[in-house]
Amino acid sequence: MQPYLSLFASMRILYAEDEEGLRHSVASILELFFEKVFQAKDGEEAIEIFYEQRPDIVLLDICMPKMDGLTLLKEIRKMSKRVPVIIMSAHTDQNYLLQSIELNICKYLIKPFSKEHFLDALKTCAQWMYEWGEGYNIALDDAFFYDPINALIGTKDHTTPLTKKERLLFDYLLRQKNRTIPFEELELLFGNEQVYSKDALKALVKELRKKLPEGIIQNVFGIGYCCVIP
Amino acid sequence: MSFPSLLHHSLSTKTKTMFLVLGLFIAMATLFSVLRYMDVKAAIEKSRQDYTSQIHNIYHTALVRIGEFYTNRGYANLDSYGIKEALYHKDSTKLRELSQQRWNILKQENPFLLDMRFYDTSGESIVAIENKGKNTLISKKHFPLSVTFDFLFRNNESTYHITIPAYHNNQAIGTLEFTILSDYFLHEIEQFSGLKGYILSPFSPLLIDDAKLKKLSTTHGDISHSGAKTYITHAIHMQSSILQCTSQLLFFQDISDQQEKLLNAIYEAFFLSLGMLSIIIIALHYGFEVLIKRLEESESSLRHLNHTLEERVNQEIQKRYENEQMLLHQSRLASMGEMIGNIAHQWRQPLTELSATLVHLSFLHDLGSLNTQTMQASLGKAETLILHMSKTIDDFRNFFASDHEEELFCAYEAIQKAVMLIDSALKNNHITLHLETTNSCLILGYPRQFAQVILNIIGNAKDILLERQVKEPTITITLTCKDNTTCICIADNGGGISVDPIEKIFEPYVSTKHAISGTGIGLYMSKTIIEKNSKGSLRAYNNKEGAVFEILFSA
Repeated sequence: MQPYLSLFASMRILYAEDEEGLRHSVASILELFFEKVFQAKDGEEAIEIFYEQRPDIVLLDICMPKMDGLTLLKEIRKMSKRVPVIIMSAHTDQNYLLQSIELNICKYLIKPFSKEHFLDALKTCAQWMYEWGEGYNIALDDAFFYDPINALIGTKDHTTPLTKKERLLFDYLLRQKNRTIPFEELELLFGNEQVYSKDALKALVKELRKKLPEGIIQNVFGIGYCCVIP
Repeated sequence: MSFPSLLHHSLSTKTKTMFLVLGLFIAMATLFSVLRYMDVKAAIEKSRQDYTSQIHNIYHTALVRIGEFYTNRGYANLDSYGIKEALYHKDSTKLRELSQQRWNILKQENPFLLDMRFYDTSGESIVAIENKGKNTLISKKHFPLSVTFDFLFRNNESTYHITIPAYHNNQAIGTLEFTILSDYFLHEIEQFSGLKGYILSPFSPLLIDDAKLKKLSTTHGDISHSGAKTYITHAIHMQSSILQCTSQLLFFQDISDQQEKLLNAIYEAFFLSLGMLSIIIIALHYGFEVLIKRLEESESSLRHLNHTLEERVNQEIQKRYENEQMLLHQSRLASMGEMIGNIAHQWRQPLTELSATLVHLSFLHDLGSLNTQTMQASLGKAETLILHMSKTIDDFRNFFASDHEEELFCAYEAIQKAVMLIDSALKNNHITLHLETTNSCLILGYPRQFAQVILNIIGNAKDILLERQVKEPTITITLTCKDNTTCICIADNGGGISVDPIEKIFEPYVSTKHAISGTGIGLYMSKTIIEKNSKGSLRAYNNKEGAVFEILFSA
């Protein structure tokens, strides 16, 4: 298995497709890699789920009743500039392709797809999110790098593994680097397990900062944290 | 009809026509000449008659005038002093003496006056003033008691006599007689007409001094010739009532001029006709020459046309056939294109699902979590999908197969078949299709061809809805049957047909679509199928939302 697929294990994906059979088939693939797959049978349902769940990745069919894929994408882009979107369509029409590119998609997947294409789309997504360089490593400064696949942080000579929670938090901050993420949003990050307090979050950030070079995680007073990579 | 026989015919026609025209002309000319001749002749005849009546008039006038004149003179003489007394006493000397002067005057007045005689009541001559002339009206047997006029032809003399009886106290005392030579009348007539006359009496030979006239006929109105001249004879009868015989005054009128005129008229007519005839012959000849030349030219082109007509017709038929074939071929290609497009749409979804299933299996395998149950489920799913796709292909193949014979089929089913094929394509483009029907309608015809037409019309509607980017694109098919008439209406909300007149869309190669998507044959073939093969009708019109195609079948 491709190493980057493990990145998705903590992610949630929104999948919109009107054909039920196809939706189930593709969803069962996605479920292999993602923590959670939200299925939407039309555009309207998809936009509602997007509002509520804030998925990490969006996979859209263009042809859908009520609201077609492109309109949906426009709506999503109004709220989130950075969420990676994969368009899956039978349309080989250039028109759709160009419109999609303008809406900043990360992959245009043509139906029917092969395993390679599918993997390629996911890889592009991961790349889009982490902006990594060679060997999936993300440079934090001149010496330090982060290996998101193995959750290792350090220099060439010495690396330190991140705990599960540290990794979850850091990945989240990293994927939205240079954006101040409010405490409330970060507290929800671990919502599944327990109610995470602000203090616990602070403690977690403190532990994380020890493993990182200085100035990567900055505290915006009274609002939240921001990941700054030079 | 071949060219040589035509030419021959035309030549013969020329001759015929020329003969006909010439014949007609000759007939006309003859008629004209005859009329002219008759005319001239009638004119001459009239002038002759006029002439005759003129002569007669002169004669009669002279007769009356001379009678009156001498009656007056006679009475005047008798009433003169001493005449009656002398007559009563039969005193010849006295009578001569008393009458001599008067006689001299009378004789001077009229040289043709022959004598003046007095008779007594017994008819005995008392005195003859000149004592000339042998004839007398008065005899013992004949003693007229009133004025009498008469001719006498006797003793080589032809004379006119006037007797005037003399009365004294109502008692006849004698008679006065004037004797005038008949030549007087010749003279009178000659004075007027300039014709020299001759007297023909039954007992004296005709004395004609002119040798030329001797041979001429003496019958009135006869025309006779003497030498180069022609004469007509005019005769005036002088009636002698006492002798019970007639004598004639003969005049020979020279009518050579008139005769010549008559001849001239004939010659004139003849030469005029001859001239006209030659002109006509020339005109006809050249006219026909030109006509025939033109005829030959048109014949030649006709022959050429005739010659090449069959070839051209065959060529045209061939061309038409080829066109038709090409049209059919193009139509077939277009249908195939459409069909492939539709198959692609129909297959895209199951294909994607199949690929997703396979990808899923592959991932499971990679993860090492592929168990038999999942494997079986996925294989079953894949098989179902493949079967579905296979069925789709069969549907298409069935759909485009040709019908062999007419049959009674359900219109609703046929429409559904068509809709099934294009359903995916419509769905992928968010086009809504409504199929409305109240009952199933049966149609006699070719079900597959019918379904193809429906598919074609729906396909056109789809194309136009996409091209115009209509909001909420909808196609509505309404199937109704009532009173043995089945009506299928296919309406869209695409804004209508922009071709004017609308019927033009049923012509081949007329397309409202872009060059890529339309060949312009579909509707032409549809119309052919519906109207020629199935005896239905296909028409199109616009309503307020878009185009409506209406197919009608009457059972």
